[in-house]
Amino acid sequence: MRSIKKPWVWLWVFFFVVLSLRLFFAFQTQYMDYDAYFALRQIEHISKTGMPLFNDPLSYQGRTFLFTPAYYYFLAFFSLFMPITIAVKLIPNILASSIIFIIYFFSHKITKNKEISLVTSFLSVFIPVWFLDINTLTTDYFSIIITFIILLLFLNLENKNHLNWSIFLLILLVFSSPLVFILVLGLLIYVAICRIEQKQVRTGRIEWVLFALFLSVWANLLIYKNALVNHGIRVIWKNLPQTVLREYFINLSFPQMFAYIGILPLILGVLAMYFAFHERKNKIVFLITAISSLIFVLLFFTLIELKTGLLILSLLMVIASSFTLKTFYLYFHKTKISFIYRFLLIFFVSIFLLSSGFSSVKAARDSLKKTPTESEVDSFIWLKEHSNPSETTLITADKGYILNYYSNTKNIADNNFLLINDVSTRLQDIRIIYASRLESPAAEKLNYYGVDYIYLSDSIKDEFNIKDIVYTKDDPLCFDLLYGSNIGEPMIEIYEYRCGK
Amino acid sequence: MKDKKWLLALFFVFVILILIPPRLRNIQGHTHTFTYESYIHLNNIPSAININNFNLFHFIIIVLEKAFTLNFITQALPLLFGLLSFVLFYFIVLEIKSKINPKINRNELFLGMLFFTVSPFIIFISTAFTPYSFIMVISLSVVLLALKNRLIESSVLVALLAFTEIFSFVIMLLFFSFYLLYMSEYRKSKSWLFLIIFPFTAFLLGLLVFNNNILNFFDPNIGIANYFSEIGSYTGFPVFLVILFILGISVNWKRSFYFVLPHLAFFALLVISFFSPSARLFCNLVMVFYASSGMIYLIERYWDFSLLKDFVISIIIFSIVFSTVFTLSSLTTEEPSIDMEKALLYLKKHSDPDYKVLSRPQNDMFIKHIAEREPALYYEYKHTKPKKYEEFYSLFDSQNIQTTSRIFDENDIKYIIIDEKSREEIWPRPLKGLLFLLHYNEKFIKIRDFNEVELWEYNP
Repeated sequence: MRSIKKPWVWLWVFFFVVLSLRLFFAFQTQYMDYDAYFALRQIEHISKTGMPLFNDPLSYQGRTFLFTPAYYYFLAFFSLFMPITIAVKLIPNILASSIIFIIYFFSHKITKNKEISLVTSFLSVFIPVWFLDINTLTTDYFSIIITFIILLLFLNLENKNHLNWSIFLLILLVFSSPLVFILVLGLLIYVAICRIEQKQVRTGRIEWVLFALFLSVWANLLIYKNALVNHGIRVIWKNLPQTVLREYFINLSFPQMFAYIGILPLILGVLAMYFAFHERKNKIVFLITAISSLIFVLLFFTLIELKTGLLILSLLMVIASSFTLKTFYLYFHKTKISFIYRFLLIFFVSIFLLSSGFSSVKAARDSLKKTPTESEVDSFIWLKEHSNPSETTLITADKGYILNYYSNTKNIADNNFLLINDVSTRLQDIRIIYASRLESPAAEKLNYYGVDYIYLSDSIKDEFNIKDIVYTKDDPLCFDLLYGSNIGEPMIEIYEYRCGK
Repeated sequence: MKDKKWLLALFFVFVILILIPPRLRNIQGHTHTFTYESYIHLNNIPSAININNFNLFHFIIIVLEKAFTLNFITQALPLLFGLLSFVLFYFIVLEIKSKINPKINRNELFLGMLFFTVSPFIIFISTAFTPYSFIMVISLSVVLLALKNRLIESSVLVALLAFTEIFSFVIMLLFFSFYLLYMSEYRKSKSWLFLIIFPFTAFLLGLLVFNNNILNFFDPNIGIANYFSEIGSYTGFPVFLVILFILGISVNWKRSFYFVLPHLAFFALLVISFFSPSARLFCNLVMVFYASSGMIYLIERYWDFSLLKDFVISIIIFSIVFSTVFTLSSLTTEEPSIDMEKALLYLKKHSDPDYKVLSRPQNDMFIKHIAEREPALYYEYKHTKPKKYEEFYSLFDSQNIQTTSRIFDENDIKYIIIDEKSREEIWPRPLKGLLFLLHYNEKFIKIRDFNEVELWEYNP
């Protein structure tokens, strides 16, 4: 095969193509998705005070957050050089696009072939699941990138710099996300597979795994001790109520996996595992198999968020694909039809572009629907100007963060359920207030939570399958319509509840 | 000589650790013992005199009460049993080293003793008033006597467990039978059958004649939360002990392959430990051995990266300290609180004993023992009488004075205790449900206020 002399040029081209595409969609709106506003408040708080906002007077009308803040510090650092609104759009998308380099390094480590590595990194350009959240501030991208860099360093721990960097990144990962457990468990399974396959694992690597195990267990025990005492094993599911749990941890079907990861990487990845165990034993593919099987099990038992699991799995499958491509390459070069290999690569790339390219663009477009509209944000800003931070606004849990961010008023519930003991009751009460046809049960709940304002939008109406809050029309003395906007935009109403005061 | 110094130092540390929670509570002004479980047993003591409810541990307390006050017994007895356990455990380790496994080295022995000393379960049973300290002393004595080939005495002690608690009895009987048949010299003689039959007969006697509540020790709250001390379980294992134990098992697997049956028995014990705190106690004792072995392996093996070795050892030390400190601080702040104690003592002096006291169900045992009054709502109703539990619990949410009055009158409820925990768990918002009635209905009068605890009286 003709060697490519400047793979870096191609890698940067791929990188900028993905980044441009992501930024194109990201800047279609000036807002982030609803959940990102929690991170935005943390970043702003860190920028102002140097500390994350652990005791929040607004969320759940006052509560303590439990989370690992490294990612928010990372983003706050960039906000020193650029406006926060730009940093939160740019940095996560740069992180998501940088997977191309990681895939290249991994593939090169497996195949020692630049062309195959380049083709593999091209396969990572359009992974649909990586386009599902363009405007998000989830820690997933950050922690997954760190995890894969650590894995790369882990493969060459004999180099002292690699060892030091891997320790530093592990500490960063521990303080970024509980995903560190996937890394540790994956590596333990990897050691076991190597033992079974009678492949030697160097002592230094086992030492590193032991260190990672001890550090991650200890740090997470310290960080989540209160949550563990409070919720026990439910901490794994972030104390999500049953209704929300179904959305986060869905059992996965194969067609869904094909759609999110892409048909080609999935097939080539699975083939790689077959080849690695039956034909050409390869320790890096063992490592990929170990983590993939762990993710499969976690997804099957709904122990990991669907999206997070798929993000990791997709990268693993793409990396493993390089091994299959290399196997094909070796196979064809033993035959007299070696020229077919190049056609095969072109065929794979075409299939990939057709299947995953369009899905990725569609996913990116769909992700825009998860962001708030301008009229929604206007109404939140209006509320901020006409209320004070000690007052409570009724809104659904999905919009709890954005309410806190723009309106600076308290919510009854949002999507962070850790350390909240009456989550299901609160969500049920919110439903009763919105959907009740009678005033008395709703008023009882409104008085109970000391609600001052009721926020109603079309999406909330859709969620509860209502056309209006019926009782507000019957009792205008108690429910005063303060804000109503329906000029060419989705209808938004804000009521002041006066009878509870 | 050096070994003795180390052992004495460990013993000294153990004494300090088990003195911390009761001493700190005494300094805070507490006059009674702590933990809910202690009060369950305190309330069961009087019934031990009844042949149907006979329990050896409770009976011993009745005998001791003739010489000492109950308050003194509840504080001194766990300490005494704890110290005895330390000594017995040390001698057992020495016996195992000399007779069964001479490969146990000095460092393993001391690390094992150290893990025993800082184990949350051991600290718990050496400070709180539970039968586990008694069970531990008897069980360790069984093991030690068996190892010393004093099998008749050992068999008698196993029989004693039959009158105390079923799980520990079964476990010790199995251990004893196993030891007789597998390892001791006695297996060649015929007397081994008698030695096993004797405790088993005692058990049948206990089951048929005394019916001594032996099944009450079954833990109805099965779950992982009972398994780890860091999640708040006093009867669980520290996470790092478990990790070191797994490491120890994997290191010793080949070396101890001869003992494959004991290992399998231990894994069976691990399964039982889901249901039984006493099984967890025995697991703790075995795990301490293996954890020490795992730790020695980490320290003595050659590390490619010495930096990682330093990190790992430091993390383990920090985690063990963390788990011990967490247990000590949790025990020190255990219920009943100082305000609750004051409120209950006030109630004991100034309330009518014919009427019941309504409070958070988890206060039932404190009300019964300290105030010597009948609680309206028992926590055990949650499992035994769920309908009654629901009906009474609904009182907390009700703002309807007719319904509340009816239930109060029908059940002779006159006193209400509102504490900080009930405000957190039952009324996270102020003045809702029963709290609303207490403040706005003239039938309720506040008798006394003890900072975090309020006493109310109902006058029909």
